[in-house]
Amino acid sequence: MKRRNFLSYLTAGFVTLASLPALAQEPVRIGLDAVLTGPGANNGERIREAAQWAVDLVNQKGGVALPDGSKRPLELVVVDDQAKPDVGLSAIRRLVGDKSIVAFMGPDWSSVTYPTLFVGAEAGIPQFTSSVAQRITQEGHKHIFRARSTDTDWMGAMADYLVKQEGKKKIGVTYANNEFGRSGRDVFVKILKETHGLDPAVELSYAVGDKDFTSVAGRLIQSGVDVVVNLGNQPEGALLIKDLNNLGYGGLFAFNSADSIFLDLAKSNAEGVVGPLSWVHTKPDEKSKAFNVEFQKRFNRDPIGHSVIYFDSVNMIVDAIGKVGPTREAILKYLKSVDTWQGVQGTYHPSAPTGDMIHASVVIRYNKDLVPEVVSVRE
Amino acid sequence: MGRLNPLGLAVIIAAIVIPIFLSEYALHLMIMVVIFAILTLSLNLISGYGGLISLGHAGFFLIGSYTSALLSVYQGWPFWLSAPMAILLTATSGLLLGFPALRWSGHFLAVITIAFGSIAQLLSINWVFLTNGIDGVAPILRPYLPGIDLTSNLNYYYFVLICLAFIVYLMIRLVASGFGRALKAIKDDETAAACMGIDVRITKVSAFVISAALAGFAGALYAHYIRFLNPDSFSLDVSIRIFMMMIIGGTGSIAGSILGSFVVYVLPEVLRPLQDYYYLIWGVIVIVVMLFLPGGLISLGSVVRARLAERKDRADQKIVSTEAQP
Amino acid sequence: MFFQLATSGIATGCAYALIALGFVMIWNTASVVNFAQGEFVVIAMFVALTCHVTLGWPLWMVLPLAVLLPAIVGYATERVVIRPVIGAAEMTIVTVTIGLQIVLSDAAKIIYGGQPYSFPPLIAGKPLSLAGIVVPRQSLVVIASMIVLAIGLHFLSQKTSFGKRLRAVSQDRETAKLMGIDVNRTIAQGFALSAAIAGFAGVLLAPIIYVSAGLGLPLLIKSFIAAIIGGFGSYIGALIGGLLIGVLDNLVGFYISSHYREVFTFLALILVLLFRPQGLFPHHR
Repeated sequence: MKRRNFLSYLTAGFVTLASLPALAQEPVRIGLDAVLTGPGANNGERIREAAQWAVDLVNQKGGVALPDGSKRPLELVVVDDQAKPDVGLSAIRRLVGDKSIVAFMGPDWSSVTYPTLFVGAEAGIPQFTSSVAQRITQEGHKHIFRARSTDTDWMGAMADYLVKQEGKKKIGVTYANNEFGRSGRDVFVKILKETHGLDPAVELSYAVGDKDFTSVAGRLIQSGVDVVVNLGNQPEGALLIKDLNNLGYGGLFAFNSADSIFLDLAKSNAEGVVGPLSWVHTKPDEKSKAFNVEFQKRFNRDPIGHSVIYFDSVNMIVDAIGKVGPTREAILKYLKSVDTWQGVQGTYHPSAPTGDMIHASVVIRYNKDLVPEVVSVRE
Repeated sequence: MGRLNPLGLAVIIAAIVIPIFLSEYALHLMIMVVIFAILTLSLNLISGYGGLISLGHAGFFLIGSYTSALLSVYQGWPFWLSAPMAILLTATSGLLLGFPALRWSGHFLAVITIAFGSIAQLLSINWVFLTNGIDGVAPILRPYLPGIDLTSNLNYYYFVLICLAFIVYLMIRLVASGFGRALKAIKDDETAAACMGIDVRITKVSAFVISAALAGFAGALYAHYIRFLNPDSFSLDVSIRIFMMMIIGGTGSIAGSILGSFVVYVLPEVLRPLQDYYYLIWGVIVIVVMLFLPGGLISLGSVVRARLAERKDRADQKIVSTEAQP
Repeated sequence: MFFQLATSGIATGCAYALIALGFVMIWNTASVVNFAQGEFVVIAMFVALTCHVTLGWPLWMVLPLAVLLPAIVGYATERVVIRPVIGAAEMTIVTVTIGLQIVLSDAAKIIYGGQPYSFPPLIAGKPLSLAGIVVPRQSLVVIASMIVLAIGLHFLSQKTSFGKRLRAVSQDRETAKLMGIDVNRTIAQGFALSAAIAGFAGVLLAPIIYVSAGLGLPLLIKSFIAAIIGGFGSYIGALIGGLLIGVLDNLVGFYISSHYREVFTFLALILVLLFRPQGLFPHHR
């Protein structure tokens, strides 16, 4: 009897001790779903580091400010979807099921975002995505915010550049046989037809993981195209341009993932490659320049587009919490009333009915020193 | 499996009662566990009882899912018609794959089934006119059952649980039947089985057909649960996962298949807080289970009991020998 | 164009050939279908990447290391996880090697992340042009290395006592034991050798296909198919099967359809199994 009493006092004491500081310092949680493992894990680590950095910066200033002027620490809860829809579904259910998470970011892959949209929609939690597929914001969901220009925006910019500025007419299209490549191909071919009245001279696809692109490169050269537009992921893009160059291709190579990962793989083959991006670290405006300096200090390398998307997203959520407090409903309602918000990437329009907040994009071209020069900017 | 021990009863009661108190996330896991349990049982029929390796069950799963989903979304068929159609079509594909299985076994069959699964996935990507390709099929409606709202995940859970119970009942009957005995005889010794008058060809092919049909049914249940399908969900990984479920649970055991599905689906989720390390630890667990429990987790009880009995035996012998000495 | 495609396909095919060779070696000596074979390639690639690119060591130092380390890992895995299951049901062995594949590939992922890395060519310079066919120097290195390696292995297998032990164990484990051969040791050495071959392939491939943690399983499956087409258990078969797959892939991609390249690889497998189930070169061990 006595022992049980003692034990229960002890437990009660510990519980109180443990919960006191926790109550005072109960953090505000935001979620992040990214591809951290599996073959699609290219950008996941960059996404996590950028989001975590933004959270750390907030905490260095004492935490996230609430409307009543008090501050609470901000915490990032990270889950991994392995770029698989069913794994993503459980990952997102986990985030959404944790009622202390007030908003979440991700997924990055459209093939994971699209089938999991309803989870966030049913819970009414603000969701920030970097997926590009058009249809994600065409389903009438009210909780989704896209913090990145879509492929329609980029492909429009790229088609304009290729046809109007470069005067190319004979276009070959190659694409990866996955969601990203296929949807990119569909959008580009449509824009080419509708805006410029052109059809691709040849269309070829390849599988993700293909290693030998001689057959694709050979058919492109045989068909005599003067520009190849490749839609897919970085490794295959780098292998394709290598084989094209080996076989003596002299035309232009445009690629929708011509980012720093691609550059690292393609090395000198990247010279002259053209690519549309949502954002690039050589973008000449002040905010981008300042972001670069800080990012360089922290990570010792250049940021990529995804760094900015997730950095901005965290800050937008933090701003909203500062205005209306850390609840899902309040943040969602507030964001839908904000017409413009300035981020590093450009001007966001959170109140846009579809959730497409931003249309900023750039077209870059790698120069002799393999620096991505901005050749066209769209706001 | 004939008698129901107290542990089995406890598991059944838990499977019925506990989900009422689960979060949406945990409920999702449970539904997936039940669907994978059906898949694992279907693989167990050909592998566990028939001794044939298949690393292509995701192919049957895909065909079942897509058949039911496409018929329901584009033709407006109700689940109660589209699901039987899915079963019929996967059974046919099982018939197709059953014939190579007559001739090859072991690693050859493993590669053939890998090829089958990969081709099925590739066609679901490339045949856009039929499957809508990479964009996937949506929205797939939940089955309509008068009086019961299957859009509620809890109700859907009970729905798939009843399906599983029915399939378990079927499997018990099947394994105990002449067919089941014939299959086991073939696994032990094909020539001897043939000498005993068992038609090896028909038995093997039927096993493939039934297995495929069950996997197709699991596919239909999955499609109408998840409400969206795209080819990504049916990769080689899924086939390997089903295979692991069977092996880890216990080959040739119905309870083992269910246990395996639970462990293999839930464990990585439990390990998730370990972030980057969880998949690695999962791999280690697979190896450790195989090294120490080749009969799978289901054999844990009997292995421990055997060890204890052995020890007791030895102790008894000691007593006997010391008694005998004077 | 045909010869261009074939030449380039041969270079890629060498990769499958080498992996298939090691894979078959493990099958012959230990009756183990090793799903982790591709991971030995990945280990070698990352060793080479770290030593050559990050630390800047010269290639002649890196190459032996990149071959040795997978060999050690191969030897160790045989000792720790494979030996206890040798002779067990094939399904148990397959599961163990799948578990091993998960562990090794994920360890690489944890250390190096999921992104691909580039690797400088082993020989610098512009591609050569021979009779109108463009051949990157790297491809020549790969093809030449494979020829040298194949001859070396043939010599090892026919002339050295280790090679003779290996063959004896492959042909009949029981008899080999009776003849006084330490079967367990030979199997472990066979594992080490096959991992070393995979490691060699890894270094050759690194500049061509980039280095990333997820490469192992897809490479292995192609090599597995190559080994079956060539005649499972046959070394010559594994080599030629690999080359055939590499070339077929390119020819289909160019002349038939780039959408269905993979399907044709599988079709080739099914055709061979239907009409020549013993494979194309079954008897040359």
